[in-house]
Amino acid sequence: MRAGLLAGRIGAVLLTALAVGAVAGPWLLSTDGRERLAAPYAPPSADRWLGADDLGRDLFAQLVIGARGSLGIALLVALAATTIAALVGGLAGLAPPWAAGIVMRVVDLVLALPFLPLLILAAAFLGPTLGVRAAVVAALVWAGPARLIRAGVLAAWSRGHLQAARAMGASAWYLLLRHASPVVAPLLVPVFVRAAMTAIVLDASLAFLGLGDPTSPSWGTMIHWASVRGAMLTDAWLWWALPPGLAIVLTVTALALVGVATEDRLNPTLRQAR
Amino acid sequence: MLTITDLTITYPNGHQATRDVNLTIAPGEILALAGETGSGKSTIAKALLGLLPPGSTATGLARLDELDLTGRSPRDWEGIRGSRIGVVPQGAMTGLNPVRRISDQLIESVRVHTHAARRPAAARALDLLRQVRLPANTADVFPHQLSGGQRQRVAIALALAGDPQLLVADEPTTGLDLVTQNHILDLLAELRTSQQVGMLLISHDLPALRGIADRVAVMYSGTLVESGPAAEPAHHPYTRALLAAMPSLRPDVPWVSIPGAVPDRSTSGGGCAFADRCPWAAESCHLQRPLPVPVKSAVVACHHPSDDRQLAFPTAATPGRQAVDKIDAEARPVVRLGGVGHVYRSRHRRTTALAGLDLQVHAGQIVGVVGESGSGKSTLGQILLGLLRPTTGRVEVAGADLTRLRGRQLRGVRHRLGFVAQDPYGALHPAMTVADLVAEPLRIAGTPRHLHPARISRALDRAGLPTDLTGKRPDQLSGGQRQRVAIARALAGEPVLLIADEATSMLDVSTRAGIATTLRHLADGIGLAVLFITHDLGEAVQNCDQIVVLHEGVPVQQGSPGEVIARPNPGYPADLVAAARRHAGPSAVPSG
Repeated sequence: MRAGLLAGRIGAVLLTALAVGAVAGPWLLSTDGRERLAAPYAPPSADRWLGADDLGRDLFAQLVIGARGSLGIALLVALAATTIAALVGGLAGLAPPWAAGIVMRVVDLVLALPFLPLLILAAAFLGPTLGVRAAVVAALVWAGPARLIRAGVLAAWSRGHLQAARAMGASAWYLLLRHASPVVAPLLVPVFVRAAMTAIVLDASLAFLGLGDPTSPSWGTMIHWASVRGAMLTDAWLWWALPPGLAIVLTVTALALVGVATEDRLNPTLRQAR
Repeated sequence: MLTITDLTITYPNGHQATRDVNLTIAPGEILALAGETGSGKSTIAKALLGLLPPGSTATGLARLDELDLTGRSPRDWEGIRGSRIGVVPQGAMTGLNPVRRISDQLIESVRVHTHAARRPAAARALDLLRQVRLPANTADVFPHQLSGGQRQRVAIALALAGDPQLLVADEPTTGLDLVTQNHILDLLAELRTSQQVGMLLISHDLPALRGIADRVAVMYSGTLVESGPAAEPAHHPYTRALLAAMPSLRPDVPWVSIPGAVPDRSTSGGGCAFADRCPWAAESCHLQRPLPVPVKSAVVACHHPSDDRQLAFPTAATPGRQAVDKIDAEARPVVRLGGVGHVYRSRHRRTTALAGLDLQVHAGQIVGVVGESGSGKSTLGQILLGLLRPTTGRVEVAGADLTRLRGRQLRGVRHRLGFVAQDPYGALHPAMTVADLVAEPLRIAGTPRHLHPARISRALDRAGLPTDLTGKRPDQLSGGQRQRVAIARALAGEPVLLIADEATSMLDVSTRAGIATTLRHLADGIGLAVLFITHDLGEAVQNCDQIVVLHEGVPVQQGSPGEVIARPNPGYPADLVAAARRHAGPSAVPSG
């Protein structure tokens, strides 16, 4: 089996497992992660697989419930960013040169913005709800992909079969739907995957800095509380901070593997080089 | 000097690229190696230079004097490649380093091969430029500042840097305009005499090579079918067909196409590879492989070699008189252009692509537009399709004034036009079937679906394609078939005008006349008006009722083919006709 294909399969299996865990997991738990069930800082046991936090709340339950927050924001941001990128990049690829020029300078501007500081400011001023955080992250990550998609549209436009259809009197819509979008659509997959990866890491960073939503648990929030409540000074970090950290690493790795696999399929020159 | 004996080359995938090839080149001799795409001619060049893909095997012998050229490891070519055998690559644009001055590239080559000090190497570089007839100040410029012909001269100078005994040039003139091609060939002939260097010139353009070569070798499907003196008539039916497939400037000399396609070598049996396409083929040709036998001073691999027997290949339909007569002078022409001009503007300059063109195309008429690249002939096609709005003049196509139309109305005019582009590979969507491709104009024009099957089969029939191809995808077709699919697609919408923009230029020589014949039948049979855009004057002469010669956007001559050839206007038309005459070779072979 080719390396790309294998990577893709592993990534897809991991992602599916994580998604199933996030959706179904909370129903299988006996606690909602907010009840005080054990001694503060209790180490892992047969009942409490990851022990308890400073208030005696079950950490395993928090990890499972937190998956919903982290994966949810990844999905939301990836959807939003891909949509914006497709619209902006696609229109810029079709627009007359002067209009495309203006749009692409705006893209350049967004790309040049200092990412994290802006994100922190926005999160601090606009509040920490899920929608706001997703909107802020999406507003920052769409620019690079938009450029990519515009390039794809321009490349599709110069294809012989599209020009031939144009000579047959095809309308812009016909060209877009039948000739351009089959060329451009596959580009959206890596765009989506990359946006999801960025979103997870950024959201965790925000949460770690205390700019997350304390009422909706996520992996980033767990690491934040572990750090604030002194878990890092004792052995407790092993079952409090490390598991959500590993979960983030695992998700990002799985997404990266899927990304590699799609890129491998889309780019024949890469395939030959291997 | 160079001796190739029974050279058989097998590629790593088991594909036999050449089979039992025998060739010799003497010092100061030019051998022209001709053949169509996939004939194995470039593989011979690669084998001589040790550039075969890794894993290929070569059996037989190739010797340059005492030096064995087969069975060398990839690292074992120092002192041979570039030093004893010079290489002129195909497409000089890619062969030169774009970011270094010509002098630096020449000096580097000289020093690599002769280990000379910098100062003598610089002197030698200037000497090389003089040899290829370039002014000394060419040394100070970058490749992009040179014309295509000048770049090709630099590439030849680079090939001569190591003072080689043998020069291998793979398609040295492809992509250059006709006048420049002749200059480059003249230069090679001159260098042969002055430097006593042997040359292997590889090209698909057999007639042009015959003009300067001493001997000609022709390959077909990996085998050498004929080799002999260039001045003598050919004997193998394939060689003769190849020569006759070059459109002559004389309308009375028939333009021949070779039916069928090159056989798949893995399935070909014991017979002659050409047997399936050969009009002389007898039973023995299908069963027994012909061995090379001497015929006069040539060596021919054929059971029935002949230099005077009738060829009996299909010839292109010439413009029939009746076609001209049937044009109703009262009828409105399909295309009427008045003073059409177009200027491309960019921030820094204005480029006149077309100026002051008056043109009429009537139903049933084929009008040829002849010009080299950059002459504005493709701009004209774009204007007729309404894809480009001319800066001046009036464009009337199919009774509609294009300059006034916009949007939906303009697209409506396009539904009544057919366009065939140059590249039959890019213009067909790779994932669509033939039936789907041909139906595209119908879908675009919104023709009711129940009418599609009849329209599709009629279009395929008119384009000369069997209807059992409908389920195939483009990658399952040959280049000629693809171009016919493109023609069928252009015909599906029942157009009044067909615009063929260099529709034959990417096809093998042997299929071109067939495409032209199809266009002629369309003009005569269904009264289609055809605009035939080409860079090849001979094709236009053979195929068209009227010719317009464009030069740098200006129509420099208009008239019937006979007029243009017999009485070309002074200036560019005269140069073009002279160059085309020279290019066609010393003597057209009698082909009956």
